[in-house]
Amino acid sequence: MSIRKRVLGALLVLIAMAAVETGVAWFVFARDPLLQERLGTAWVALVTIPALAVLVMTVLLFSTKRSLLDPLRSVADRAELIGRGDYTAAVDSARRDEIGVLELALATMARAVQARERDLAAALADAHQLAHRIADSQREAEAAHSELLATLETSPAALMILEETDGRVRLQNRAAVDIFGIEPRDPALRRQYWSRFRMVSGDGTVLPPAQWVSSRALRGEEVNGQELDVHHPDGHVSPILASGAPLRNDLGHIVGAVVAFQDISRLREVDRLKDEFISIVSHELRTPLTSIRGSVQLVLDDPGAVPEDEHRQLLHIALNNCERLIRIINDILDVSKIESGRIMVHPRPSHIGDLVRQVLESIETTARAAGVTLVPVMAETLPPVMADPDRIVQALLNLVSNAIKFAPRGSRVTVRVAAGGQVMTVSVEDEGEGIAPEHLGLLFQKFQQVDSSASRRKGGTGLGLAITKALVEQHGGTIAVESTPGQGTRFTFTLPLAPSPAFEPPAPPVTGTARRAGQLVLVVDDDDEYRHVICRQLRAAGYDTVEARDGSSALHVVREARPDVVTVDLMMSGMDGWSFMERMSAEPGLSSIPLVVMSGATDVRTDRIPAGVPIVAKTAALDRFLDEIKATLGPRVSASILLAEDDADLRGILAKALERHGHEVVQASDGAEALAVLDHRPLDLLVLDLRMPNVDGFAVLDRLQRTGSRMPVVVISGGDRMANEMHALRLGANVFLTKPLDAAALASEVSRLLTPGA
Amino acid sequence: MTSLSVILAEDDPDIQLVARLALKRAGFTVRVASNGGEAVAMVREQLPDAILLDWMMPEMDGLQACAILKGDPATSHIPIIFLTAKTQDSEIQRGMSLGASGYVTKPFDALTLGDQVRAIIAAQAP
Repeated sequence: MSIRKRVLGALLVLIAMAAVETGVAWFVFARDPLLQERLGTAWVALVTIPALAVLVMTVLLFSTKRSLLDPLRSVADRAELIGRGDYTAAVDSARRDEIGVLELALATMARAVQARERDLAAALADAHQLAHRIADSQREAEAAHSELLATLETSPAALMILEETDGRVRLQNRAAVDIFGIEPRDPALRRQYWSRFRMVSGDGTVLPPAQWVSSRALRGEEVNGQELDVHHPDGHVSPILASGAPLRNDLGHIVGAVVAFQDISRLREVDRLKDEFISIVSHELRTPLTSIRGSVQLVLDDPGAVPEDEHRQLLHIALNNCERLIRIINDILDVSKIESGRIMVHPRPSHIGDLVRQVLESIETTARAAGVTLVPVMAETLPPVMADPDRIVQALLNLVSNAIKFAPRGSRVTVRVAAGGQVMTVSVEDEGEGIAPEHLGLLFQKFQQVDSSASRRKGGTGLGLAITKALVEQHGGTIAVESTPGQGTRFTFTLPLAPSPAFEPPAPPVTGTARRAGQLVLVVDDDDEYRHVICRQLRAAGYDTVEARDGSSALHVVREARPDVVTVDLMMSGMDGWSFMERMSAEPGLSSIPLVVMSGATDVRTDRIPAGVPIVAKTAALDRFLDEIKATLGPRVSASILLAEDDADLRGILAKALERHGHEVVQASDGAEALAVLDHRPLDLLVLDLRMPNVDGFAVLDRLQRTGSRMPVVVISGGDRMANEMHALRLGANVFLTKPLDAAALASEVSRLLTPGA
Repeated sequence: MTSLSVILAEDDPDIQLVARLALKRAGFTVRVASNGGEAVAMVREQLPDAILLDWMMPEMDGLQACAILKGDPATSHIPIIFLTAKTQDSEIQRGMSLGASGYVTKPFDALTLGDQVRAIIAAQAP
């Protein structure tokens, strides 16, 4: 019940009580004259007072209603209006009483509510806008994503994004599908799927899956353009350029990897065509040049054939330009070789002083004609360097003739040679105009000459410095240029020093087990200096050595001294390395002696080198050579080897060779026998012929694979290598050798497989 | 100086003439052939002190001729020198691996051709 009603009710009750009292008084006194007489005029008062009270209270009732209840009512009404959102209803009151205070509070509250409502509305509008913007950017992101996907999809490079957790392919584009197909979802099938691919690096090694670009990228490595051959399950091979990088989250944790492959078969083909083209053109140019040069030379050489001085001069012009053309052709051929990585240097211990003198002598006439003095500055005795004399002469000639070209008449060109640390430093210095710093960087690029008008005046292809740089770098050296405009230019290159007695490791003690007693190495090389260096190294490492200068004398030594290993140079006068090796493998008793080829060339033709014979480049560090010798000679781990071969003669030869290397050999004449042996005892290694009666080699491999065998397997096959090799390797074979088989090759493969870490 | 005899197989008539004159000038007795087959026949007719073979020739090229001559015990001891415009080391190696004693690259120096041939023969001599 409202206060108003209670107040009004109370007043009405009071009025009613006063009225009743008035009525009662009137009824009692007005009717009773006795009472009236007794009371006198007082009864009038008795009646009038209640009546007055009624009146007063009625007046009070109405005034209360007007002054208190109505304003309250109006406050309530306004509050209701405000509640409905009509803020005009909030007005400041002029009243100073409680109602006024109430109205003021109400107005203040209304304004606060209104302000807050306005803020809320603004916030709401903001939120709306934000929602729109989010929707927009989401649309944009989706558009960008699909653009990216479309770009990825049409990219000629094959791209794959891999998941960190399990190496699964999360995303791959069409080109990637073209190369690798689509991997199965099932993790077990996935491993099997990828195991059918083989990645083979440039040097012919089959990469284990842990070395694949994808695995390396997932481990956090960045791989930039590794050239690989992909051997596909169907047998075809595609050359690719592979790159990979890890994907990291904002905390830097690896969350995946992106791998890119580019099919470079076309590039390789174009490259091959270019080289072939250059080779043909150079050949076609050389033939007529030979006739021109030779004819002019012979005429000029005949005294009295050309009496007129002027005519002789003309013929000299013809000859000089002929020489120039020949130089250009040679330069172009060299550049083409550099580009395809086929430039070959054959470094051997050489005396740099001799080479410098040779260069200065040959260019003396040119220098004199240009009015330039050549000044060599070098010590009397210098340690030998590792250099290919022809190539270093070529590099030096380029630098010196360059310096002469740009040296002013009457100036000097200085060639300085000094040994320092592990390198020999050679510099060629002119007193010419110098080169502006901004041009220095261009110098070693192809077809660059700082001033093209100068090049026309001075002649030259602009290839010389690029070739020189490549030659120096092939030797393991570096080249640099410094120049002060107005004062001159200095080119400086370094060459590694030849290993000399001063740098030899101390010989191991000759007593005790350290000495490899009885291990004799025959070194066959026609380069006396190189042979001596090698022998010294071998003796320092504890081997005994014998030497031979060519194949035929080496054969004598082999028959007499029965060395444990023979190192063979390929290009030798007399009987060369190839013929020597052929004779070795043809002669019973010699064929099992292990061989190591020491090659001066970098692109050795391997078809005439017996399979499995290690090839060490002469440019390689001597450590590498010693390692190879060590590997070839043993570690004499005696292993138990199962030899499964149906041809009894071949089996006998191979068994003997393996036994000679200290192994125990168990022989089996077919696959069934081999499997039976394996059921009875574990063996360290299996040598397996593929074609055998009853159970063939493939069946044996299959069985081993299914039983999870980890035994290394060397497969030997007389059949088509192309067809069988992939199949055998896929079935878990480690090495594939073809017949005719060299026993020494087999033995060295076997010891390689048995060496831990191989 | 004893006159050394050489057989020169070269199909390009101009080079054949230049090389013949250059060798004659250096004191060689020269017989010329214009392909490998002719050269092999000439060698068998009368053994020379050395054989100069061009690399590429019609009918029978230098490599084939070299293989035949080196495979025949009657002629295998005679030094063979390739005259070649090829400068690919691998090709030169191929020639050397067939048993050649040396090679001279074209364009050769007509004034020193004789000396080069003499040096190769001398290096080959046991």
